[in-house]
Amino acid sequence: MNYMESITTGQVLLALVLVCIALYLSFYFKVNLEKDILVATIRAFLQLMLIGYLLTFIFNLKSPIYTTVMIFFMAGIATYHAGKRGEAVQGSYWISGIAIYGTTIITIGILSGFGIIPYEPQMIIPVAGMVIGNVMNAASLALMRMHDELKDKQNQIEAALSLGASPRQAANPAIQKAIQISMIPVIDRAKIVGIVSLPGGMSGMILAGASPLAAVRFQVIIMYMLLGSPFLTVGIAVALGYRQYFTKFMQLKL
Amino acid sequence: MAQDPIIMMNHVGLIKTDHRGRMISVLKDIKLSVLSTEIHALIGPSGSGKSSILRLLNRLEEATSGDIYIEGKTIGQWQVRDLRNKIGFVFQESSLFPGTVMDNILYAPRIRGIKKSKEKSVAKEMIAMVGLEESFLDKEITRLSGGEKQRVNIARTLAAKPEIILLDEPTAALDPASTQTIEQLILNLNQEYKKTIVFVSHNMQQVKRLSHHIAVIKQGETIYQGTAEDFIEQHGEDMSFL
Ligand SMILES: Nc1ncnc2c1ncn2[C@@H]1O[C@H](COP(=O)(O)OP(=O)(O)OP(=O)(O)O)[C@@H](O)[C@H]1O
Ligand SMILES: [Mg+2]
Repeated sequence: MNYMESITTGQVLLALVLVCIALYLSFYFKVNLEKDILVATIRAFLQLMLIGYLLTFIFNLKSPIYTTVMIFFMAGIATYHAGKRGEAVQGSYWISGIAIYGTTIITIGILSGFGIIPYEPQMIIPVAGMVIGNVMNAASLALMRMHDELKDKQNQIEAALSLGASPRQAANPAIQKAIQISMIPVIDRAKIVGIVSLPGGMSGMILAGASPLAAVRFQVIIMYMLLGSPFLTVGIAVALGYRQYFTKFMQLKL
Repeated sequence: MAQDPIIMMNHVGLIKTDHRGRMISVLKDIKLSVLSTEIHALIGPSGSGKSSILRLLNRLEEATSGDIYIEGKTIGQWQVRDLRNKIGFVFQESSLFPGTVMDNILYAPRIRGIKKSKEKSVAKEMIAMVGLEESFLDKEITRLSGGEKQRVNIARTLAAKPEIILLDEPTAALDPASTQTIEQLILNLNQEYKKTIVFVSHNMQQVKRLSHHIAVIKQGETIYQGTAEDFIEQHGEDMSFL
């Protein structure tokens, strides 16, 4: 049995020493974060325990149906969060939903359809979790940015409409800005990966005893997935999103 | 034979909801009649609804009540794109696109799929119409003076070949010299290029200099239609009673 499998509750509790240091510093500098730290400590423990038991349950079922249900459930939570953060955009919930579910289905479909990652709960659920968490941020960032751009550039957009532009043409600068802004962090992360940061998944694999090269091969797959999938989400979100700002008579409504 | 007006507004109302969701009656009873040969002014105090009238004519908003006719057809009978190609709108200068003068002027022609080989000649023609040197075409918008921007703004609208041109306070931000240039340009567009002009102004002197007819707007209602001279005769030049 390797180290990972042998971690005891006692060892977990000993790690609380690190939390105590945080508590002491918060108290010492009077930054008033003691309560937040305690809540975060307890929540992290409970949530992770819960997900641990849930994953154990699903892994043991070994049923593609339950795996799919689990993935759809995660996408649902992400949709809710992205929709809420992008609430300024009319219809942000269903737009985020189509973007996130669409991306998840296509990405996971490609990964397991091409046999890159087997459709087994131990493999596909963590991978889907990474995809979904990643595209959730991209979707809400893109929607919020597009909203701000359309608002700020109202004069230019109406000028474009009055010069005969379609809503798509008039909104194009805002659409481009939204895609750029939401994709820059994704692309930057891919550029520096392995140099500045070791991805969590790879660290985890090495900790779990995989050879660095095996971990790297897997990580490259993950990075390409994390590079492509947000683009898909953002594309779907803004393509649906900008339409909410125009009437059928090509009028800008804010 | 009496001329049919190219633009007619009858009892037009516009109700909007503000950001708190309250209903605001922006326009209550607008009447307007513009002949195709004329320069027509809209004058009235700030907030009276002048800009909103222009927006309705370009169908950037929907009137809540009343009728708007363009060339005898109700605004709803027009294809929105045809209407906007017929009626150009010169907004405030902040509506210019980032980029060069040329990019701005060619916006409408490019949307209509102008050939690359024709671009330069169209841009030259338009910049000449507003009385600017050809060398301006490659300048960045941000480097222009207020008066130059306003001329580029007009050139951008002209490039869409409208028959009717709406101008919202075209000289509001300009010094007297630039104001005079723009006024001359407006007169030219009407006399030489036979454009119908509807413009908004705060300045009765300017309105008198330029327009054949005026409509005076107060709190969303047309309270006078006729010539500037008759209006001044009845009420004097002091507009403060409005
Ligand atoms: N979206 C809106 N929400 C709430 N009120 C609005 C909205 N748009 C316009 N209004 C109000 O409608 C009125 C008329 O506005 P409009 O811009 O047409 O006036 P204006 O005559 O052009 O004024 P100015 O001379 O200051 O440009 C104003 O009181 C304005 O506050
Ligand atoms: Mg105005």
